[in-house]
Amino acid sequence: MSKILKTNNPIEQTLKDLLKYLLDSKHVSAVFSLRKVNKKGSVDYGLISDVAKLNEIAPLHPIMPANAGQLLGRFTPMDKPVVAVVRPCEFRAFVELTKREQGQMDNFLFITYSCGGVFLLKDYAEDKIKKKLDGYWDSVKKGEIHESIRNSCKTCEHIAPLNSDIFISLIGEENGKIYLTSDKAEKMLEGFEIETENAEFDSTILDAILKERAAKKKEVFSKINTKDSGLDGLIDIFGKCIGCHGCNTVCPICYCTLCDFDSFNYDYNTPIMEKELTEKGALRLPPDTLFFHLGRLSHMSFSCIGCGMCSDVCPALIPVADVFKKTGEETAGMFDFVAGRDVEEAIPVMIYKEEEFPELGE
Amino acid sequence: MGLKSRSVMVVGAGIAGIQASLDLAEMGLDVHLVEESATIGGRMPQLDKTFPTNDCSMCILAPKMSECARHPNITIHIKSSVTKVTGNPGDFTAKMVEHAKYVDPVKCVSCGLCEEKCPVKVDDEFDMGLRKRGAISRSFLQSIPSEYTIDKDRCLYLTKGVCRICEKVCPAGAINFEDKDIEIELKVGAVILASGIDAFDPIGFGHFGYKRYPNVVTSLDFERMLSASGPFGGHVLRASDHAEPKSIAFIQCVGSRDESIGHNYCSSACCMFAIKEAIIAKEHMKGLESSIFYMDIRAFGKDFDKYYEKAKGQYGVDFIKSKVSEIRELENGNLSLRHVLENGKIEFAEFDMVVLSVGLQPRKNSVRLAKNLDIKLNEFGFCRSDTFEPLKTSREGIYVCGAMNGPRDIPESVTTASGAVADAVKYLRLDRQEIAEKKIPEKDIVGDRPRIGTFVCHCGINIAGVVDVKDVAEYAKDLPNVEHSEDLMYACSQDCMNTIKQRIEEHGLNRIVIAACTPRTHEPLFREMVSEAGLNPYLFEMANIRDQCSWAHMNEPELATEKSKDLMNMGVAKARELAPLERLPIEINPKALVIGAGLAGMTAAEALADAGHEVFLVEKEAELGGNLRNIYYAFDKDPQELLAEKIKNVSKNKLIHLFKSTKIEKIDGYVGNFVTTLKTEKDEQTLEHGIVIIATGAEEHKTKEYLYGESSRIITQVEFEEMLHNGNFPTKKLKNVVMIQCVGSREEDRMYCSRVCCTKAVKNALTLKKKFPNINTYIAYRDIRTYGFREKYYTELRDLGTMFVHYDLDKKPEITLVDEWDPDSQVNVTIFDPIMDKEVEVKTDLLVLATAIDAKKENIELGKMLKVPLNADGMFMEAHVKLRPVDFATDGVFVAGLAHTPKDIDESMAQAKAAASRALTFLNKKAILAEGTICEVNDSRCTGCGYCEQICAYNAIEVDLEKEIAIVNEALCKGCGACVASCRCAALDLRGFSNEQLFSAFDALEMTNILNN
Repeated sequence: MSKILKTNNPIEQTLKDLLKYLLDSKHVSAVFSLRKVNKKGSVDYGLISDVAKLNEIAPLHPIMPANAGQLLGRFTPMDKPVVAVVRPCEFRAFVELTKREQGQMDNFLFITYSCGGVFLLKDYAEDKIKKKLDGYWDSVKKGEIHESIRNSCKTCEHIAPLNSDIFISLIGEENGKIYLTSDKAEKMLEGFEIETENAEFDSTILDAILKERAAKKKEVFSKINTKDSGLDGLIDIFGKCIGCHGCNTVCPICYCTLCDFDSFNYDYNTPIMEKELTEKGALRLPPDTLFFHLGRLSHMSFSCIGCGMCSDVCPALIPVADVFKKTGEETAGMFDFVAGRDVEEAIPVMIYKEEEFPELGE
Repeated sequence: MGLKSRSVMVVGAGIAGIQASLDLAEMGLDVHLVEESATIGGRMPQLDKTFPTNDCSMCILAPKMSECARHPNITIHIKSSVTKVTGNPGDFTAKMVEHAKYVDPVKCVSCGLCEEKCPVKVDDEFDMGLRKRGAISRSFLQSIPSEYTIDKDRCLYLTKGVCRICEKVCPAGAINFEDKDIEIELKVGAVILASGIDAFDPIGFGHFGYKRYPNVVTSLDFERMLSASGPFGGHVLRASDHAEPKSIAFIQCVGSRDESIGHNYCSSACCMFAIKEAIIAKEHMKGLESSIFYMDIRAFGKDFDKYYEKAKGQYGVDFIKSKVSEIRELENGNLSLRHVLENGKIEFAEFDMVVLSVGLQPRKNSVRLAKNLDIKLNEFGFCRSDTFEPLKTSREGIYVCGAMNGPRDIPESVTTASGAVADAVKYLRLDRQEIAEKKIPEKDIVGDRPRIGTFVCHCGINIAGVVDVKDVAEYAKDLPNVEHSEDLMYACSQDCMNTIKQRIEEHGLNRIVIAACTPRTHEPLFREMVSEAGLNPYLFEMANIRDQCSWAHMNEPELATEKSKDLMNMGVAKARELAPLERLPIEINPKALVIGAGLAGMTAAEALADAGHEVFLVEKEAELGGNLRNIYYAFDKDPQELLAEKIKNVSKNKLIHLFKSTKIEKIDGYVGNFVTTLKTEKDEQTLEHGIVIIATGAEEHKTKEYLYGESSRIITQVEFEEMLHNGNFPTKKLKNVVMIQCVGSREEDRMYCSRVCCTKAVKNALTLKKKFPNINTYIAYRDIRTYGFREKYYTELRDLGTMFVHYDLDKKPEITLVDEWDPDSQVNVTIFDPIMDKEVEVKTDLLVLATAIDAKKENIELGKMLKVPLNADGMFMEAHVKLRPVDFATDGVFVAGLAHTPKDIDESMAQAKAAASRALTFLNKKAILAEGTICEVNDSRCTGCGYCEQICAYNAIEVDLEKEIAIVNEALCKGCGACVASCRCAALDLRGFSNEQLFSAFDALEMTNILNN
C-alpha cells in the first residue's frame, strides 16, 4: 500500500521541502539532483550536502547532461545515505549497472517520476529551450508528447512507477502528486510536515500518452531495418560515423575501464592494412567504425535502457539510440527480459540453460 | 593384515577396468591392466551416443583411454588372459598368458598397409559383421594400443603356411611370425575383476527371425549403423534393399526377464538405450516413425525419466505396452509384428525395420575365469557378490566391478570401478607421493630471439599418402625465425624423438612446432620430449595436419598440402609468441571431511580411514545412520545388522573424528586446502582438510495425495516397513493390503523415478506374504522397475498371488474412506484394470503409499558453500553423468549416496567407496600441480562486473569486491577459456592461448592469402 502526500503546493516546492527535510533531519547526508550552475540556464548533476545550497536544485528540469545512472555508478558503494532524484531511464541504467557490480543500491533513497522527456543537448547548448519550457510543462500536464524532446523520449514506454522509493506523478496532472512507494520512504518521512493518506497511483492516467508513444515507437522502429538489411543496410545507418566514440563515452551501460575498441588491439600495423587493402581493393580509414558499433551492440544492447544519450551526442546525427533500443528490445524480448526492470532479474547472457532455442539445433 | 604390495592387477579393460586402473595409478600404485582383446576400451567404443545426454560415446571415452595408455604407472597387457591366482591377499601370485601378436608393437607404426593388402576378409566383430576386416587388423581407428595384430585363426600363413604378404608390404618391418605366447607371473596385492558382459545373441529366438530376416537387427548392430564412424557413416540403411527405413520397431526384453532361458533378471540398460536409439534415429532421418514395444519402461536412473518424457513428447516416439510374440517378413522386406496388448487383444503392426533390444549376459569366458581365479558365480552366471559387500567376490582380496556381477549401465560401472579400488587398497601399500622432480634443468630462454624448429610427420601413409610432407617441410624453412625444418617418418617413434632432441641441441632451438596427427593424443608426449631436451614444455606447438588435412581432404591432395602449409605457418606464428609457463604446486592436506553420517557417509569415512587418512565425519542429527535407521528388510539380509556394524566401526576407529548434532557453518578454500567451520549448540570450531565428500542423503516426500493423514490405515511404505518389523498394524484383521506406487514421483514437479520404491514394495509385500500367506495384496503401478537381479523377487511375488494393476497418470486410483468420521477407517480403492478392461474396487485394510524421495533443502546452502551445482530436482550434479559420477567440476569435492540421486543400499555403499577412492587419488599425493595454461587478469582493465564468475564452470575466478577486480584461483583454473570469451572489457587472457598468440596465428594465415592472391 502506498501513501500520497496531501498538499496543494506547487510540486517543485513540495519536492524541495521534502529534500530539505531529509537533509535537515539527517535521514540522508546528501541530495543528488540536477541543479542550476549559473543564471544563464546551465544545469548539471550535483551532490549537495549543504541545506543552503538546495535552493539551486532543479530536480525536474527537462535536460539530461549525463545519464545519472552512470554517475551514481561512479560513487558507489557509499556508506552514507543519499537521496537521488532521477529519471526512470537513469534509474533503470543504475539497476543494470548494479547487476554487474558497477553500482550498489544500498543507502539510496530513489525518487523517480513520470517523465515527459528531455530536450536535445544541441538546443540546450544553443540556449533554445528557455522559450520552450512553458510549452513543455503544458504538454506534460495534458499528457502529450512535446515536439522538441529526444526521439528516445518520444518513444519511451517506461514511465510508470518502478521499484523506486518515491514516485512523482507528473504526466496528466494539473499539479504533480507525490507517492511514497516504499516502507523506507514512509519511515524517513514520518516527521515531515505534510500529511499522508493511503492511495495507489492510478496508471490509467498514462494510458493516452503511452498509446501515443507506442505509435511513435512503431513509426521510428519501422524506419530501421535491423533484421535483413545486411552489411549494406548497416553501412546505410552507420556510414556517417566519424569514429569519435562519443556514444560509448556517454552510454551508462558501457562501463569498461578501457574499451577494447580504444585499445592497441585495433591499432593495426601496415602489413595488416595492406592485407585488407589487397582483399578489398579499398579501405575506409579509420577502420573498424562499423565493427565498433557491432561490438557495442553485442556487448550492451540487451541492457540498453533507451535514454538516448548516444543519439544526442552524435555529431554525425546517426540515430544510434533508435538502433540500439530496437535491437536490445528484440533480443531481450526473446528471454522475457526487460532492462532495468528489477535488480534481481538476471541478465540472459549470465544464465546457463541446458536447452535454449532448440529450433536452432543443438 | 600382514603383507602389502605396491602392485595390483585389473582384469578387463572396458570402461570399468580403465577407471579402476586410473584411480589406482593416480594413487601411485603399479597397475597391470590385463585385456583379452587387442585393445582397451571394451564396449563403449562400439556405442554411438550415450543416454541421457546424447554425448558421443567414443569422444568421451577416448581421453580416458589415452590417459590410461600414457600413465607411467599402468602397464597394459593386451591379448592376455589370467590362468591362475595363488597365494593370499596382499601377496598374490598371478599367472597369465600374453598371446602372440605376430606384430612387433615397437616397430609397427599403424600405417594400415598390411590390412589393405591382406587377402583374407572376414566379418569384423567390432562393426558387428557389417564390415569386413583382414586377418591382420586393429579393432578401430582410435584403438589403444594402436598397433595391428594378427588373428592366428584366420591368417593364411599361420593356418595354411602360405601368403606372408603383410610381411612384404610392411614399411617398418614389424611383422614377426616367430612371435610366441608368453607366460607372465606377477606379484600383486589385490585383483580387480572388470571383465564385463556379452550382449544376448538372439539367434536362438526363431520367432524373431534374426539373421533370417535381413531387416531385423540387434541394438548393437543398430549402434554401429547410427555411428558416424561406423561402417555406414551414420546413414541407416536396411540390408534387404539399401533403402532408408521409414519406420522402426524396437522390441524390449529380448533375452531379459525371460525365465524360459534362465534369464530371470532385468538387463537394466536396454530401456534406456532403446529410447536413445529411437531418438537418435529420428534425428538422423526426418519423418521416421519409431515405436518401442515394452513390458515396463525402466527409466530408473538419474534424469532418465526426463529423457523418456522427451522421447514421448518432443520426439514423438511411440511407446506400446505390448508383448511381441512373432515377427514375419513380408514380400517387400517389411516386417509384420504380431503382438498382444494389455487387454489380451492380438494385433499386427508393420515396420520397415526391427531392432531387438538385446539383454546383457555373463561373458562366455566367465566360467573359465571364475575357475582360474577360484571365485564363485551366482545363479545367473554373473560373478557372485553380496548386497552388503557389493564389490567383493567370494575370494578375499579379489574384487569385482562393472557389469561383471550384474547388468549395469556406464555410470554405475564407473562408480563400482572406483569403489572396488577403495576396497582393494586394503591390501596395497599406499605412500603419499611427491611431485616428481624435473630430471633435466630448464634452459632460460627469456629474452632470446625465437629459434624455431619445425618437424613434419609422414605417419607412414597416414599423412604422407595425401599430403606432400617434404614440400611442407621445405616451405617451413622460409618462415620467419625458423632455424631448422625437416620431415620425419614417425615423429612419435623413439628414434625420431631422439632426432628432434638432437636438433634442439645442434641448432639451439627454443620453440618447436610439429605438424602431425593431433594434440588430443600426442601433445602430452611431445611436451614431455621437449621437456627432456631442457625446454619448458609449453614452448611446443602442434599443427594438426592428419585430422584436419590428410583425413578431412583425402581426395584433394593438393589442397590438403596447401592447408598443411597454412597450418604450419600459423603454428610457427603462434610459436614465435610462446612463453614458458609454470605449473604451481598445490599442497594437499591429507585429512578428509565427510558430510553426513548415513550409510554412504559412514562407508566413505571407513574407507578413507582404512587407507590411513584422518576423517572428520559430521552429522547434523544426534544419531548416526540416516535413512538406514528406517530400513528393516533387504530380502535375505538384515539392514539393522549392517547399521550396527557400521556405527561400531566408525565409532571405534581412531582415525575417524565423529561430530554429532553438528552443522556446517562455512566452507572456504579449495582442493587440498579446505577450511571448514563447524557449529554445535555450544560452540564453533574450525577444521582443515584436503577434500570433501558430500553424503547428506535425501528425505521421504511428505504427500497430501490419496487422503494420506485422514486415516490411520493410510500409511507410507517406510511406515509400513516399521509396522512389519514391530507387528503393530493399525488393525488386527488384515485381509486386504493395497499398495500404490509413484506417489509424487514421475510427475510434473518431480519428473524423476525414486528408484527404490518398486523394489521396496515388492520386498515388503513378500515379507508380508511370507508371514501371513492369506492376506490379499494388490500393487497399483505405472511401470514395475525391479531392475537387475531384483526382477526375481518380482517374479516370486507374482507367483505368490499378488495382483499387479497397471495405471496411467491420467487414471490414478481413486480413494475414499469407508467411514469418513472414523480416524481408523478402512479405505475404498477404485482403479481401472487394463487387463480386465474395467474398473475394480477393493475395500482395503491398509493402503500403503510409495512416496517419492525428495532432495534435502539444505543442499542449496551446501552447494553454494562448496561451489558445486544442483540439478533441477535439487540433487547434487556430478561433473559428468557418464564418466565422472562422483566427482564435481570443482576438484576435491565428491558426492555419494542419496544426495546424488535415489539409490539402494548396495549402490549407496558402492558409490561411497567410489567417492573415497576418487578422494584418495588426491589425498595420496603430497602436492599436485596446477595447470600451466590458466587464465590471467589484467587489473587495469578489469571492472569487476562478474560475468566471468558466472560463467566459470570450475569456480576458479571470483570478483574481489573490495579491489573491484576479478581474481583467478590458479589451483582451480582449468584453462578452458570461457571467461576470456565472456569478458567484454578484454581484461582476461589465457596463458598459452593468449589473444596475442592466437591473433598472430590468424594474421599469419591472412598474410599467406595475400601472397597467394
